[in-house]
Amino acid sequence: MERRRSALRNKMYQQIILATFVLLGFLQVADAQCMVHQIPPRNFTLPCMLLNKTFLSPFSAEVVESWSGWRIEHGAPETKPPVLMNEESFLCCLWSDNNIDCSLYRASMQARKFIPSEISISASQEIDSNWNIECWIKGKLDLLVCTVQFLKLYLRADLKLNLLYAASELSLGDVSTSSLKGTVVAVQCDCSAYDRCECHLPSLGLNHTLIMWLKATVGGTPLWSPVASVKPIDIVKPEPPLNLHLDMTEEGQVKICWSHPEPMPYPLEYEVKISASSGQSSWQMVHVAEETSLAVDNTLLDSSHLVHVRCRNRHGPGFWSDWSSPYNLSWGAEVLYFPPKILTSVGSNVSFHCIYKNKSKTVVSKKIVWWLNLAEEIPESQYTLVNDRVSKVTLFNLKATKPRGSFFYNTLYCCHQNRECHHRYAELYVVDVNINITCETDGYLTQMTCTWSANPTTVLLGSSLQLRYYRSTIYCSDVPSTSPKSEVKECRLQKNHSYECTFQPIFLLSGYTMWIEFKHSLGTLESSPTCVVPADVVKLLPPSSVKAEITRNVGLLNVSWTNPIFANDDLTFQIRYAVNREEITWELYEVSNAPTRSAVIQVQKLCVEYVVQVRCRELTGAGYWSNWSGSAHTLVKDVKAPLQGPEFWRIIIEDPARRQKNVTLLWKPLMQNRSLCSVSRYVIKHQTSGNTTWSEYVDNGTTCSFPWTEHTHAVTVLAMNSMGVSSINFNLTLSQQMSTVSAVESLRAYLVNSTCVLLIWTLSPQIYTITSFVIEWKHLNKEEELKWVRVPPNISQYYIYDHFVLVEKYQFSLCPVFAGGVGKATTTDHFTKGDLQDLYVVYEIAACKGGYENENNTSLSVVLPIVISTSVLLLGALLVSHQRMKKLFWEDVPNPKNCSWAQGVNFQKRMDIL
Amino acid sequence: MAPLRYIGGGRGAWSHRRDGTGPTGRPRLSEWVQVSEPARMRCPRVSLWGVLWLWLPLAGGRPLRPDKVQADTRNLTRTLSTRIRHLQLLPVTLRIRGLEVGEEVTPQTGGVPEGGGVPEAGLGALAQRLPPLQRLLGTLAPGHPPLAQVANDTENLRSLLLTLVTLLGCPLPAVSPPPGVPPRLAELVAEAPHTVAAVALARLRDCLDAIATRLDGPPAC
Repeated sequence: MERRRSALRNKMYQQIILATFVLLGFLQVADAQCMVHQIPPRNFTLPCMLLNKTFLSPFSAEVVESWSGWRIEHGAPETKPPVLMNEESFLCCLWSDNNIDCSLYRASMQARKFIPSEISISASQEIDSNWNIECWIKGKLDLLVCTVQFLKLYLRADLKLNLLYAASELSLGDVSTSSLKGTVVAVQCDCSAYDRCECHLPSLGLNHTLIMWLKATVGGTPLWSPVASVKPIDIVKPEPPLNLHLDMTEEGQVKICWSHPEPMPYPLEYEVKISASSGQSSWQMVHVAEETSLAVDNTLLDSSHLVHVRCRNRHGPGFWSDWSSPYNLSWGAEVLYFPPKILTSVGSNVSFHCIYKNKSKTVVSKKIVWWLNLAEEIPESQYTLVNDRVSKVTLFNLKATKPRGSFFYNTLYCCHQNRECHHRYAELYVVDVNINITCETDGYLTQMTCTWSANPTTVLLGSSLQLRYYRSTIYCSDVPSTSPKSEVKECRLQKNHSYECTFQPIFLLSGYTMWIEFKHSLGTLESSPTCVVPADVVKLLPPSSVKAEITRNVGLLNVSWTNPIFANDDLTFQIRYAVNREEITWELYEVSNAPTRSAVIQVQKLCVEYVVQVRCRELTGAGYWSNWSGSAHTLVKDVKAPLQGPEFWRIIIEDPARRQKNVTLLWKPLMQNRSLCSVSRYVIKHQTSGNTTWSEYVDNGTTCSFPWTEHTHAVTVLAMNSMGVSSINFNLTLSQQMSTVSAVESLRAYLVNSTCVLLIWTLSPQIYTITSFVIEWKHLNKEEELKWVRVPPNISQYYIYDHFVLVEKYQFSLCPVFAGGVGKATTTDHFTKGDLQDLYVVYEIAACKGGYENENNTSLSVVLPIVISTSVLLLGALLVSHQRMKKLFWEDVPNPKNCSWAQGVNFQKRMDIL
Repeated sequence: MAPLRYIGGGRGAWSHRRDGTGPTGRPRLSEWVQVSEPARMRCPRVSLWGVLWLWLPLAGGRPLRPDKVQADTRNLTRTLSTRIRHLQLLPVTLRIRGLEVGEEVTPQTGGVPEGGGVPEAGLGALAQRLPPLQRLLGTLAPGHPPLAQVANDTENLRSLLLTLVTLLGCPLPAVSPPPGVPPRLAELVAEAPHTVAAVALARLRDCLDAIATRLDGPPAC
């Protein structure tokens, strides 16, 4: 029995010890923990503690105050910005289903661990002292809002409410009270509303842990709430969906569409409420959708229905957003296009669908017609009846949209066949993306520049163009195609609205496949890809060291050059050359292959300076012509000896005192085309009848004088340059005997105008052969040089072009030149007056006026009009004289028909009165 | 070190003999085309696959003429030689310590890779000598556009050579050169880029000389 008692006692002690340990353990755990209320995405209730009575906590040596009643005071607090608290203090509570124990925790106390837990309803049975709270993150994610509603309205008076909070990147299980040290911020809540306060916290990280509690002051008495925590992302209340509208699928199914709100921190789910509008039965349908559209029955469009949409976090906690603004299906369904807008490229085919409702009655699809830009009815052959409500039109081989005013699109109208259209339309954007990309590799083979330009009239507002490319290892593919592995190449806009993109360094033998990407909010278009191998589009450097000269003796333009660096030996060249003057007129010469790097060109003028340039290109035609090289200039130098000596004449001045004649030779400077190219001096060769010969030289000037002492004196003038003397020369023999021989019978001078005089002469019978004539003329009233010209022996007239004045006196002489010497000159010093009836002279004068001497050319053009006009005049005069003669010789006989007595008498009928 | 020798009379050249193989006369290889990222050195193993793909167009598409590829290869060789000559970075008559194979550094530990100098080497073997030089030049290329261009040309040349080797049915080299630049060589590049560039270009030109010699005659391995 004793043993049994002892065992029972031992067992009881053990239980007491165990209970003591359990209690101690509980006390230790309770001592190290604060329970934290998890804020849900809905409204919830928190108790508030009035610290008007202190007592010792059973598990803490600190002062603990329990909550009880209130004092009523009045006053409205103002919202103030957050303030960092110097000293943190909050209620550290432990609660169970039927009790809640709190102690005031201060920063100086030992750290305690936060334990997440919901406050059970039974723990806050004291409903008069509860706060009804709702916290959410606003849709813009920049503000946390908490509303605090008082269940005891008398507490409302003189209330000041602060919300204190601290944020941590750690989860609640890893946060302890020590983490709140120095991080607690207080915001004053706005309690201006009658039954609630509103507290605004600036947005913190959505995934941070927010620890918060409320502290109110009612008439100087503080009220506390237990600590609560939340992850802001769990209480986001999104903005309602936007932009509700009706749309149509390709199969003609109507769907309600909307846009998701921004920002959207996570995927959303949507709730769509379709309800009958007022005046009808108040039924409603609710659908849940994960996408931003929901197919609806087409029949709903026939009556008035309202659609609302709201959204919330698809996978986690969060608030539903407010309902969107209502959308009336009947409004949107008056006309529906699918798609409402199309962006496409030139040459493509597109289709539009349409549902058309006319005055709340859907138009059957076979009565729908389509119009383009309100101006052009689309042929019925392009329509397709998808079903009895939906009509489809297809447009083929589209042309680029031409901007019409500020409208950069074509409009498609779905109309009733009675020519009634709804004002809404579908938009068609057709962009010309046939953009040509041309590339050129520089002569150093280090960079390839590609240019492309887009028609500015077809580029839509808000669109962008960019060049994309990819490179093949070597060469191009047969059919270039776009690739997702392409890159964007940066291009520069040039002044001429083209774009220029430079690849450097390059892969010479790689194929660069390029295309232009046209990006717009309606979609992306691509031009046809093109592939370029840089080595195929080389623009070589121009040839260098270009030299040009006119070759001696041969008289050809010889051009030489050096091939450019990095160029092949198989090149073709173009040489352009021109006489170097102000206005250069180039002539082109092509050399297909020039291993000697030189070319010889036949040129007309040898004694001018030529400017020469050369360019080159691949012989096969690949690539581009190089730029023209720098200019080379030829030097003007003697090519050959002068072709002939100058024409010359003599002036003989007799010196009676000495009985001597002095001869002055005059010659005209040798032209370049004869001198080739210059004359350094003239050589005058003399030969007299005594077979004496000598030469003299004239370096400067074109005259030479010598005494004529012998009977005959033959003179030859030669031209000389660095290449030699002229081989063909004029001779003149001065003979005393021949100087008396006259050959001209008559000489007449006709003044045609101030610049032309016609000389006509006749010859007397000759025994000597005339080799040429020399015409001399001079102004008698002025001290002018004698002018002369050598003319052939077989003509009998000559036009002298000079400056003549009618009232002045001129002397004209005609000297025959015989083989044996110069004959006697015939002279006239007046102009013969031309007779108009002398048609020969008239036509000669006309020829002079025409400025040329060809008789045959002028005869028809001058004589014929004169003959015709004269004939017309004669005919006219003849007719006039005929009429006058008629009147003169024939008297007028009166017409008996005009007499009164003859009225009614038929004169045609014979009437015998006897 | 092999003596310097200039080839091509200083004129790099492009000979475009048209054979009706495309609008520009360049051969078109549908299946052979590999998409390459611009200005990035590529793994030699990938290039090898690209060469193996060459048989596909040969079997079903338009054949690629060896003489055409040979002409392009010859022209690119000349162009590269001209470029190197114009870079004027060649004090190669001097013996440079610290870079020679078999001395302080080796190809494995980071010596500048050998260029040519072995006339009897086949086209395939010569092609295999180019990647290390190309990678080395690519390392030197940042800030030196002419070297970047030489590196690109070298890559093109290697592709052409391997194509030619495949077209001619020559044996492909069994061993691919190790990828990347050895660490020791990378240090040398950082320490003395000019010296490394000069020696690398000299060795590349040796290699080009050997290639040009092989290409002067009719198409052969």
